[in-house]
Amino acid sequence: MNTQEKLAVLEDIMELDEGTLKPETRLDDVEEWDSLAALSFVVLLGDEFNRKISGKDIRAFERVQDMLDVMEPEG
Amino acid sequence: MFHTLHHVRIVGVRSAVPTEEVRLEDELAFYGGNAKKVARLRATLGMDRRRICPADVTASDLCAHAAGALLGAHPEARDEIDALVFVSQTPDWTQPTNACELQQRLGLSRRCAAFDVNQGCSGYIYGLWIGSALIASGAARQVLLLAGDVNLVGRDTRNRITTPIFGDGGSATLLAWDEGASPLRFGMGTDGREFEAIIRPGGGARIPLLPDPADNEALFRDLTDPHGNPWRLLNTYMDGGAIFNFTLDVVPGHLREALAHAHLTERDVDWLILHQANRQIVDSVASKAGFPPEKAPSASFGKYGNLASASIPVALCDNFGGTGRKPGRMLLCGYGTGLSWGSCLCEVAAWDCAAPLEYEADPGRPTRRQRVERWERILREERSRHD
Repeated sequence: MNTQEKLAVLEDIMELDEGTLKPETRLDDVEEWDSLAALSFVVLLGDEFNRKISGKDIRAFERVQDMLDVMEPEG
Repeated sequence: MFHTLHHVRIVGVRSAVPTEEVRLEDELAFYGGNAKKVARLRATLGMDRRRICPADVTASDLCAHAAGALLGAHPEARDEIDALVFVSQTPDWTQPTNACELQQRLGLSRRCAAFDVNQGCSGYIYGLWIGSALIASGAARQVLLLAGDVNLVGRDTRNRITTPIFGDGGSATLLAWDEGASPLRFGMGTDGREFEAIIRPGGGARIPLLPDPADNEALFRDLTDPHGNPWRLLNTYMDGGAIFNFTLDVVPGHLREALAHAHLTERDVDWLILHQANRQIVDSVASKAGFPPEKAPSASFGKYGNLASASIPVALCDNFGGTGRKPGRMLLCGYGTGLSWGSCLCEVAAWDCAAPLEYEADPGRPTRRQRVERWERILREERSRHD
């Protein structure tokens, strides 16, 4: 999955218009980044990347780039 | 530990939900009128409708209603029920147990043991397990299991994390000795490290209500989280993310172990009936355990909400009651507060299972105000409780 595809998936989770998210977007500025989106993100990581993430790791996210970084198979 | 109990038959199941239905759209104002947020809740968690009890209706009322219907269909059971087990985390009193009052309300024998079990979302499995063990050991001929929760104190309508998830429900299940019954296979588990993941912090003995009302102010204070949800120490607190991770870590593996213990695979099982925590959890657990979605129904959550200890029996009644579907070989599994989990693998050829019953509040039952006034009279005037 390339960066554009990952961004599209994240926009889908948060029901945002295409092109809303950039890697440098601050998550504090995204109203739709809430506990529900976090849950969808956990499900996505498990289903697509066979990867687990803790609530603590999620709360440490500052920018969209932090989400993109974990959207890789664990290695 | 996984183990097998013999000679126990699940005779019948009834469940009861209150008539009042709250729809997600009705509460748009609590989401700041954000229709998109409501649509996301529906798409992600499957939230849609839930049933809510009116004032003065408790879990014991719903369970008594379900039990009345079940005993009406099996009147001969009344004299053979040697144990009444009530599973709930929302009992009518902290003293005595609900089960004792219900022994007389349901007209059961005086030789019947009656006790409550404090368990939540794993509680129905606990009740089946205890009831089956009593019968298998010869301690009881029949057991009436009541499981239900009405969490009026635990919820605050303005809190959007917990309130819209939970509904109210009660159930009654009859178990009986039967020489020819198929074996029931149980497995239970606990991880107390996360005992605070779902908890009502205040109001018990640990952070008690104190004699001086001024000391209780902290329990009634609104503590607002960054998303604007008010919480009180008396409400149920829930760490949704931690519970989701725990469930997906533990439950699919537990289900695979349950099958391995019975030398079965998911292909040999007709139904996986999971605690209806929310649709996402049910779907994710089923998928990770290797079950196709059509074997693991998740629609009951959207119709009734998360019903805690009543969730599995209501899902059974919803799925099999009057639908023409045959139960067959079922794997039932509950998981949640504790953190606690349990499963029951059973084979049901024929049983008496009806669609969830609607409960209309009985106007003949005393209100809270009337109960308070009665106790004031009893305590002040030293009058007999039987006047």
